[in-house]
Amino acid sequence: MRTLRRGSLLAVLGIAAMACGKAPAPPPPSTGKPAVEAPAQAPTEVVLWHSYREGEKAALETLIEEFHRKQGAIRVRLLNVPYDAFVDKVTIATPRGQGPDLFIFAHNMLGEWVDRHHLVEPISQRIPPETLKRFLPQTVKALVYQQSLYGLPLAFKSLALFTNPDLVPRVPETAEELVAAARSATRKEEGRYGLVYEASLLYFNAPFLHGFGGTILDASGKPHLTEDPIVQAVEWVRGLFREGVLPSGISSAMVTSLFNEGKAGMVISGPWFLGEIAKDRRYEVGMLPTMPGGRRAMPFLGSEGIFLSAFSNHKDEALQVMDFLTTDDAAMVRLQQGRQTVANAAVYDREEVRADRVIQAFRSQAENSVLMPSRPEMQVLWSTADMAINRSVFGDVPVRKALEEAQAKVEADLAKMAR
Amino acid sequence: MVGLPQGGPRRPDSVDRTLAFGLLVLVALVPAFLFARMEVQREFLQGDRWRVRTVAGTLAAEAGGIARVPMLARALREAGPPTPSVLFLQAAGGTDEFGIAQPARLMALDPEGHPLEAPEDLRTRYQEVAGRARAALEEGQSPEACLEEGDRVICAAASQGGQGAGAVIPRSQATPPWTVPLGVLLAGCLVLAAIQARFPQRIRLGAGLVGLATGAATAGLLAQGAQRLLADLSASEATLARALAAPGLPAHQPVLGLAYLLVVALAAGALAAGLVPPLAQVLADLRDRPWLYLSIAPAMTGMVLLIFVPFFMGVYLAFLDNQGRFVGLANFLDILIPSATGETRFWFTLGVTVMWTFLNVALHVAIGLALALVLSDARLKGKAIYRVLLIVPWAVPNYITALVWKWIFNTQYGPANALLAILGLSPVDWLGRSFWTNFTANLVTNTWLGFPFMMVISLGALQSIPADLYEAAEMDGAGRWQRFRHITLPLLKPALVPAIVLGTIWTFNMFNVVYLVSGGAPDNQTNILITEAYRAFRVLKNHGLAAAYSLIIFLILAAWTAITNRVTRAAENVYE
Repeated sequence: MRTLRRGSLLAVLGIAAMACGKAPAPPPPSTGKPAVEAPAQAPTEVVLWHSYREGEKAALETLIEEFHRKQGAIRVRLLNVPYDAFVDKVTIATPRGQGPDLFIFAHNMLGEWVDRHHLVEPISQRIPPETLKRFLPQTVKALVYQQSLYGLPLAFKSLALFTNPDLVPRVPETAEELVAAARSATRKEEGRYGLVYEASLLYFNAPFLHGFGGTILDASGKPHLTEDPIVQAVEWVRGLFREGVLPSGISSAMVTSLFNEGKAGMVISGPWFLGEIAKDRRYEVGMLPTMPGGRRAMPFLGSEGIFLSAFSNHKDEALQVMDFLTTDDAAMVRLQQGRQTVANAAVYDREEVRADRVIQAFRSQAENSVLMPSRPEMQVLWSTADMAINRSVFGDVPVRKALEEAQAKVEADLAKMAR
Repeated sequence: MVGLPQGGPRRPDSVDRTLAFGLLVLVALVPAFLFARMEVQREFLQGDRWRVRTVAGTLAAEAGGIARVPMLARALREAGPPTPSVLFLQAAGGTDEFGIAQPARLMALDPEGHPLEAPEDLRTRYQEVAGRARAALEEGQSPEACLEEGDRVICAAASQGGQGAGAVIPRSQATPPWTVPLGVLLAGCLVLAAIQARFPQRIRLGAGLVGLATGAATAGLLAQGAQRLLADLSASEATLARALAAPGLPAHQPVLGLAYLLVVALAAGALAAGLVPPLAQVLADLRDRPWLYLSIAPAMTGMVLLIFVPFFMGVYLAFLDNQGRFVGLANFLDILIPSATGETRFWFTLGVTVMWTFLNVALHVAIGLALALVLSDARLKGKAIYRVLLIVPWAVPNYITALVWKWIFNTQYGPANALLAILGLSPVDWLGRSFWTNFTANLVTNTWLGFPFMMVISLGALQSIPADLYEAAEMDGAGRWQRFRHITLPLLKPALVPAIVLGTIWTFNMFNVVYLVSGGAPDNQTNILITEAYRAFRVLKNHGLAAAYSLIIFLILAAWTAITNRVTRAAENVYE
């Protein structure tokens, strides 16, 4: 609410103009560190920040309780930080010694956290090689940056294809089948569409871009938005819209409500969508189809890791917590209670998981995916690429022109960032 | 101590003036000193980096390693400090199936070549930096990497054979000598005191001249001290480069040139000339009535810490690039001069912002005033209820309102399109790809948020207009419009003009609505200046550019306030 401010108007202007961005959040109260000469029995406190909700949060709490029962030397204090504020909080609080010892986040911020802020501790030397054998290789690779390992993977997140069996009898295997299924499921006059996803965003189109053989950002951090395969892929998506099987202006909330109302034949979304599907809605999950040319549509794979702060005073204790949370047994709890697509490979061969079609579908998709680049350059690319896709798929701008402009803009932004 | 003066504070004496002078020159010199120190430290950091990188590179060179340590030790001795504290030598090691560097034999030595037990955390850091050096080698870039961590710089180099080496150097803490410049400052104060004793009436000019001289002398000494430090550093680097046959670093240029001297001197002179008399007056008063000033001290401290310090830090930031280098006006030119691929289309955004502000304020005033006129009519029943209802949009936090309106304008589910459908019109993709629909959505939202303020202000002012003025006008046969035009409007002016000024500033910087409703769509076109500044900060992560943007916004608004302040003052005499 606005109130009339007293005092010098100019001074007020001053703050209004200068504090335009974000005032640094007030630091959270510092964690009471145990005194240096504390008695041997006093447990060490390890602070763990996460942004889990509902099932995933409950699963993590279950595991921490179990950890406390098993030993008395380490107490873990969980702090639930809202997802939207997570990156800022970690980035601002940690270098000032007020951050967590451990935190859980997707791997894609790693490059920035390491390069710019030096706030993640490399753990290559501290983790025995056999520990890494627990995980699906892709999920570990995601946490390796410039030949150092920076975390242990908990889970992976990738897109897959959800279908409504009432409208699409079986999960399509190829792009042609997908288009045919989408066509027969579409009833525009009833507001029903064959394929519903957030098609104005790069993240959700990336499977097709990769499926046509494109590389969005190469290993050295150069964008390749004007490559032929990428142009072809965007043309293909534009075709879906022109044909009327793909609606425009879709937000994630609309994807959920259309699917739950039975007005979406197929949906492209990730494991988080499982929690949003209404209880009485039947659904199937399968891999994204193979594209013209025979490659599979490959979504970006995000690896959710647990990271050790470079500023932690309890690194050894924190490593024990990391190890405990990533054992196969702990992963099983996260999978069953939290419905997480966990990173531990062996869990998927257990009896009760083998029968879980949904989890298995995501696991197969993970093997047909492209690691999301963790380089800082990627953070610059997202919104510009979104715009180009939006303009060309739903607007009148020719695909190649939109992508060429986006490429030029990203290059200019990168130059500006480097300068 | 002089007794409490009758009828106002006493005139400042020469002690007050000298104190005021010293304080002001100090104010001009402290930033100049900090700047000199920062520039010197930056050069030193560059030197530290070069030194430790060169040492690492020498050790890592093909078939190098341990055999080169004696030669290196000799060269380091000859070149003098700063000397690396730890050298690392690492055998070749590959990467595993995940791309993680495999631990290879790592040896730590002191600069003389004696084995050393390096602390665990230092070894970890070295491994991290070495990984980067190898990654750079594989990407075909220069196979080196450095990391500044706390008070040390760690560098690593990788060789084609796979082995690597590194070195650690404690960061040099270089500060240009400051005792002599401080002495010069004190001398300046004494000179001023002496001048004052003879010509108290010439104080303004005299203070200016002494300030100029003091500033120039102090800045010159600072610059000279800095230059000497840098020259020593360059000489030591040249020696090392020769001994190791390594490419040297270009000599460290003295950054504090003539322009620096001139600016410092002028700032000191101008401050001393302009501000000595008023500050001396304050100081005289302070010495007489300290309690008075002590009681406003908490508020003043708050103002200084929360407003002035961040403000000046922001101003300073506007002249730096992303690496913290001083770039002069480059950020401003980047904003003001449009380039082909330029991200910031300042003039376009300024045009949008002006249109946005004008339309908003016009609508706020028109709707607010109209409603106030209706509400102030004596015949209206249930006034209290209407008034409360009309203030609701103002009482709800504006980001909540903005999000509600964003939903109202949703293409598929929004009530706006539902209303159009009832009227038989085709739905509009409000927040889609058209500038005007996005702009309209923002405008409607902010009008909803803004009119209650104008209404409340007008309502208050209307109630203070004496009713007999209207009665007299009616007796003279003035019509409804004439009464409004010649009585209501002029008497509303003293209340409305400041409200409009304030409303303009709020609207000009109405971040929440633009950011939350259209988010700048399409293509950042509906962004106003403040959301563009935020984008420079958040998306482009260019803090200097964002600060420059903010400074431009500040200047625009400051100019606007100065102009309207005049207008307001002109409107103040309406009752006379």
